Amino acid sequence: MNAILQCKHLIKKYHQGDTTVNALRGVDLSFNKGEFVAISGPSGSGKSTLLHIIGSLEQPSDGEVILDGMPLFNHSKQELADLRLNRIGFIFQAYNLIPVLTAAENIEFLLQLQGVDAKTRRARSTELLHQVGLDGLGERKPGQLSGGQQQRVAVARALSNHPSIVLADEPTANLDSKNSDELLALMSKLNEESQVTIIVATHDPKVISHTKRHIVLTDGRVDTDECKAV
Amino acid sequence: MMRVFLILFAFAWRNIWRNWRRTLITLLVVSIGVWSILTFNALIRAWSDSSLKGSLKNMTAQIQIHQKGYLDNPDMMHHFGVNKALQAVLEGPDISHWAPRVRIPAIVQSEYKTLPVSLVGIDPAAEVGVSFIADSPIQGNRLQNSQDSGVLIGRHLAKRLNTRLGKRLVIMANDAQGKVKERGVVIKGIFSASQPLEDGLLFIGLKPAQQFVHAGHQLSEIALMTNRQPGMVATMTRLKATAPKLDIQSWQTLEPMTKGIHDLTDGFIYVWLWVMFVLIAIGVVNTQLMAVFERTREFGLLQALGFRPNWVTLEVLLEAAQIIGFGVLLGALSAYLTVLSLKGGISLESLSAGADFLGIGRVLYPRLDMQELLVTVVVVWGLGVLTALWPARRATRFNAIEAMRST
Repeated sequence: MNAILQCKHLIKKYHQGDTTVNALRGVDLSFNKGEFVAISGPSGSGKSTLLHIIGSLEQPSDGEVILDGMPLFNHSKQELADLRLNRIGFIFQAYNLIPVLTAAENIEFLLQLQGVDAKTRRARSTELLHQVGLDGLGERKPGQLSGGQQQRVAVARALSNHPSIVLADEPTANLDSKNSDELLALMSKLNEESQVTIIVATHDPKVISHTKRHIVLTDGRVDTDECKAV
Repeated sequence: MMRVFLILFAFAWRNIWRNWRRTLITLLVVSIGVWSILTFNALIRAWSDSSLKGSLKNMTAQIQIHQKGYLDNPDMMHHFGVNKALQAVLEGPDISHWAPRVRIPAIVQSEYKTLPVSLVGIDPAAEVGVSFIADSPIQGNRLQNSQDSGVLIGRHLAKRLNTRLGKRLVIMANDAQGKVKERGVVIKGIFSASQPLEDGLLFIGLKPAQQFVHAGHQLSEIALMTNRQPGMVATMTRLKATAPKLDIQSWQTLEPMTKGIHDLTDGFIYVWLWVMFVLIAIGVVNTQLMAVFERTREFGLLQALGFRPNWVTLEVLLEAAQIIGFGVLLGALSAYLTVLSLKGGISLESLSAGADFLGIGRVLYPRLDMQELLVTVVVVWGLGVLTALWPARRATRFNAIEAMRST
C-alpha cells in the first residue's frame, strides 16, 4: 500500500532557558490509507508532539513530514492553515466546539470556509449527525449537550471536510467509561466505512484495544510498532 | 475573499452577543460619546452663530469700507465718495445688501444731561438685511427714508438723558472742515437693542447727516453683506482691486472678540471630539482585550481547524466594527433627535445680561450640520476600528497549541 503520511527522522527540541528538552529524537514512521493507529507512551514520550507536528501545528527542529506526497513544511502559515482546513481533521481532548454555533453549524463550519454550498453542507451535517448517533440534536448548542455528545459532534466535525487523516489527541480523557466505549466504537465504525486514516495519541488501554496498529514511543523514539491481526 | 468576509461577519455578530451585558455597555459608551460630540457641537455652533449674527447685525456687517485712517480717527475728515466702478461692484451679484452711512462721534444734549454718542446717518431701506435698526422694536416711528431729519434714540440713552418721544435734543459734531456744528433734532422713535447699542448710537437720515457736516454726497462708511457665492473673501479681493485707495476690512478684523469666540468654539469642538474619542477608544479596546483574553483557546482551536491567522484578526476587527458601528449610529440618531427637539430654540432670557455682554442672542438655535455629522460618524467609526487592531493582533499572538493550552 502507498503511504498516505510519512514521517522522516523527525526531531523536535524545546529550549527552556539553558535547558533543552528533546521531545522527539528521530522518529521514522509511515501511515497507510484506512489505518486506525494508536500512539502511546508515558508522559513526556512525545506522542502529542508527534501528533502536533503531523497536524502542522508545530514545526520540527529537523526531519520531514510528507502528506499525500507533499512535504508539509515548505509552506507559509496561510498555506498550512488551508492544508489543515482541507486535508486534516482534529479531535481534541476537551471537545473544543465553538459555543456560539449549534452542533450542525459546528460540523458545517469548515465546509462553509471551504466554499461548499448551503444545501450540500446541510446534507453532509445531517448525514454525519446520523452516523454519530445524534439525529435530531443538530440545533442544540454545545452547552446543551453532554460531554459524550459534544465529543461525537467533534468527531463529526473532524470528518466533515473529507480529510486525508484524522488526528485525535486523548479523545476519551474527559469521558466516562460508557461514553468512551461508545466513542471508540463509533471511531472504529467510521474508520471501516469511510477508510479515513485515524491516528490517536493516547495512554488509555481501551483506545489501544480498538485500534489496528499500536506504536509505542519512549523518550522521543519509536520503541515498538505492531500491527494487530484482523 | 468576500465569501470568507461574509462568513466572518456573521460569526462576529454571534460572538458580540456572547456577553450581551458587556456588548450593551460598550454600545452605550460609544453612543453616549457620539451623542455628546454631536450635541455639544450643535450647541457650540448655536452659540457661535448667535454671537456672529449678533455681531454682524450690530452695525458691523460682513465687510466695511472706509477712507484710510477712519478707523483710527472716525471723523468726517476721513470721507469718501462712491465712483462708478465701486457702485457697479456694490450693485453686482457678489453682494446681497449694502448700506451707505455717515458715522461720526458726536455729543447729544437734553435738558438734563450731555452725553457722547455715535451719530449715524442712514438710508433706512438700505439697512434692511445689514443691521439691527431695520427691524429692532421701536417705540414711536422709524425713519421714513434717507431724507428723514428725525432721530432714533436708544431706550437706555433716552432714560439717561431723561427724555422721551417728541422731545428735542441738540447734537454737536465736527464737520468735514473740522468746525464744530450743532443742530436741534426731534426724537421720532426710541429703539430697543442691547445696552451698548442703545447707549452708543443715534440714528438720523443720511441726507440730513451729510448736510449737518457739510459732506455733500460723501460717506464715512459702507457696510455690506455678501452672497454665499463667491463668498466674503472673494468679494473683499474684488473690492480691494476696484477701490485700492480705500480701507476695506472684514468682520474678522473689525470684531476681534467675535472672531476669537468663533475660533475658540472651533477649538472646543475639536478638543471635545478627541476627548470623547479617547474615552470611546478606551472602552472599545478594553472590551476587545477582554473578549480576546477569554477566547484565547477558541482562537487556537480555530487556527488548528484551518482558520488563517489573518482571519482571526479580521474576525476580532469585525466584532469591534459592529459594536462601534451600532453605537455610532445610535449616538448620531440620538443627537439628531435631541437637536430636533430644540429647534424652537434655547431661551437665555434668564442670562440676558451675560448674553448681551457676550454679544449673543437671547435665544440659541442649535443646528446639526449634516456634513459634520457624517464626518464625525465616519471618523469615530474608522478610528475606533483602528484602535481595535491591537487586541485583534493579540488574538494571534500565540500559536494554536499554546493557545489551546491556556486556561
